[in-house]
Amino acid sequence: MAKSAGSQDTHATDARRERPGAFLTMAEISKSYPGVQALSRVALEVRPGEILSLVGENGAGKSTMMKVLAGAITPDGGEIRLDGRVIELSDTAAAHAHGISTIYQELMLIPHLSVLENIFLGMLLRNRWAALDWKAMRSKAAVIMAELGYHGSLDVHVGKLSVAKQQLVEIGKAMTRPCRLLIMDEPTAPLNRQEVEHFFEIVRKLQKAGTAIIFITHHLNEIFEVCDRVVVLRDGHLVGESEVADLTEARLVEMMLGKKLSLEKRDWDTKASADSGVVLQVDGLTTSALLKNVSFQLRRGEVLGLAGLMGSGRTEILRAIFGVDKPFSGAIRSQGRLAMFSGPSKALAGGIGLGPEDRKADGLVLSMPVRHNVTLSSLRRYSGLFALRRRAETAAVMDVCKRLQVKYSSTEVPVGKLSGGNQQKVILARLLDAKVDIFLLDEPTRGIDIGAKEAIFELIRELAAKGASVVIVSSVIEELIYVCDRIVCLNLGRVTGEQTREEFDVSSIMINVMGGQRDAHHQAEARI
Amino acid sequence: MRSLPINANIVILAVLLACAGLASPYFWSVENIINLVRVASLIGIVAVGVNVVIILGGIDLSVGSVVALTGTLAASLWTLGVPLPVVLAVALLAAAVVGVVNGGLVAFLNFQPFVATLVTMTLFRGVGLVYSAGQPIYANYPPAINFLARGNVLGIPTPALLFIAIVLLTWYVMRFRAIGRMIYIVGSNESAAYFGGVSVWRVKMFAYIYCALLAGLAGLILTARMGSGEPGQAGILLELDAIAAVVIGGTALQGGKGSVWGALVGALVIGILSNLFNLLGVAPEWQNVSKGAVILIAVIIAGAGPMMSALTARRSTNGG
Repeated sequence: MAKSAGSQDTHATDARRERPGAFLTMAEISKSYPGVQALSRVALEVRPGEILSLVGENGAGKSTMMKVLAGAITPDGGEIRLDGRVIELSDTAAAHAHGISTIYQELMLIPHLSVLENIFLGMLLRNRWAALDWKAMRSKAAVIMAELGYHGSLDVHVGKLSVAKQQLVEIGKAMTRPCRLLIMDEPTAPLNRQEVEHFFEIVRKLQKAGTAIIFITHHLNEIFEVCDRVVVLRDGHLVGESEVADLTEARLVEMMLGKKLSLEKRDWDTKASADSGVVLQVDGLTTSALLKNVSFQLRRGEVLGLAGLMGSGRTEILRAIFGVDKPFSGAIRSQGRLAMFSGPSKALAGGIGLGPEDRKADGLVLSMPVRHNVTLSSLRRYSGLFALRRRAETAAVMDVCKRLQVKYSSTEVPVGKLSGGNQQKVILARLLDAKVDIFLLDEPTRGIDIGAKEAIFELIRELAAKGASVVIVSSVIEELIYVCDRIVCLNLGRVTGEQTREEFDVSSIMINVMGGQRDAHHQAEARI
Repeated sequence: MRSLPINANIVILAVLLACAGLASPYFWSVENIINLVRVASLIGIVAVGVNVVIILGGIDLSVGSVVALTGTLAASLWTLGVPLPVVLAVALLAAAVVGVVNGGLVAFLNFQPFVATLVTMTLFRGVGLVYSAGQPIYANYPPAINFLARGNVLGIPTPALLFIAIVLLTWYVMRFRAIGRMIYIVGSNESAAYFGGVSVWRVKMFAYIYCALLAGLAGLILTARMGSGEPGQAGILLELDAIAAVVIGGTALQGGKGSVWGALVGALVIGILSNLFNLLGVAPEWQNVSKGAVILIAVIIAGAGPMMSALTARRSTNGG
């Protein structure tokens, strides 16, 4: 961060430049991590009593921005001014001292402590004998929590409360200190419709009391319902800023997406057409947790994209098909027959394979050789009468790896030593070796550089050209548009739209994925 | 996974053998070596099974109780006049039952392996005591059973032969059979194994049953050696000796890594230690102190490589 030796003069000029009312300004804030420029010379102003929404795609820099204000990370450069004075937010305590409180998506509460204990955790009140003054804390907490509409006991363990009530405790915790700015990361994500409405009431109450609020959300309707102003980040840059009143959904999505189609549009040789056979039919799939009546079809030779943000149910659909989660109701049919598998081993035997979202944790045994990882699902085929047929195994591994152009020095090298793209190819190789014909790929290009991404997409198209069917889950819509024949949009566990290749339109897919106005009715239902 | 643990633990074994020879001139005598091998084989057979469970990412504390239970059952059934094959079959079946309970608690009820086998350790020790009313059962075993403990083939004691056979069998299973591969895979990354379609529960059941059966075999050897079934005394703290042997052998307690050769070396180290203490007349209370110290040194030497790299890795991440 820049030196805080600003003279009186610069203060004065800065004050003139500021728009009236802004009490907090960030200027030229940059932060880089190895290989990533998370924030690049971003500026931000916050006025008292405004509700500001910070939006952008995954990886746009929202969280980094939030962490800078929370004092959790120190930016590489730039300055933050509060009431015109440069401040250093060197740690979270410094942020608190300046009246900035942050509520992360993962709530920072201790489940086995009571509401009261959680609220005063970190700033216990003491009486004149230096003993804890529970009486004072209790009366103060009672006032704060009543204000927030929490009327339960202060002595109940926080772990026993609903997420919505835990959130109130988290806000209550912030309110024990003088709070000028409250930052919240996707606070509405875990809430149902009623809880969201109550939450908005509270936000407006805080606003009236003069607290400024920065609020990260992926839901368009919430931005238009409650926010005053929107700031849009993209790839670490501030790309737009607008009063909500002057904004349309389409304009907002356009700002978020920009013109950054780095993958050339390509015409794939597509085998799938409307009359190709249906290989997978999902009907009214509902899981108790998230999915609501999801239906779609997958045809032979087709590459189908499931576009959705985190919490949209995209991963849950794949898990249900693969037999990891039991559906609550609904039916899955494969090649016309009912295919409700009891687990991955059954699904694989039925010709369905999954490349999990978390490649390192769920996909690969990083410490073990490429060979073991490729034949993990098909080892039975290499079992001879007395021993594993190692020569046949190695030959098969080399064969499939050659076909997928995996770059490795030997079949015996631990798979953890390969690059991300090659690791993903090893997973594809495993599915190929297991002879599946339906590939479910959850975020297959996460953490892979652009060249390797194209290679993966080419492989996927090649598989499809040979008659395999592929479902790809991704939150990066451009990539889905690049590779898919058809895209199904998901929002909050529901299908909100579907487009074929000729109809692909990034903005309207984005609006569907974010639960835009067109589907506001739908979404209200989904919340209940 | 596949190379012999030539490194640290072989060195420890060699140093120990050299020191033992210097400390007691009697150490290298034929009788003593045979005696040593008998003790080491018993620990070794149990340790090989525990090694498999630890590679799976689990642990088995119940092996000592299995040793006592099978010995008690065998002695009691034999004195009741049950035919020998039935005696052996029932004793091993009882061991397998403990393995099934261990595997079931871990695979289906998601018990922590430590807790599951702590439960069965206590429970089946109790079952043996209840069955025999807490009393040792003296059995006048036939030559066939005596041969298990006291016999020899071409001068090599039977327990040692059994131990070698079991080491080779386990090496073969772990290295050349699909189930062995699966044990390493589940031990390295259970989640990846599951998503890859491995029947994780079957692999776990196999490992716990295999381990319990080897403990059952050790129980038969022990009861043959003692000529009695000792429900309360047999196999006391044997599980800890077995785990110590595994650890000295270089198998990582977090699973996924290790080899049967390590368990072999570890069992020999433990066997030599107890043998040496007897030869030198070390008082029992000091035996434990020195044994603990030697295990500590062995683990430090065996773990020196990984430990150093872990330390340097931590330092470099701190620096960055």
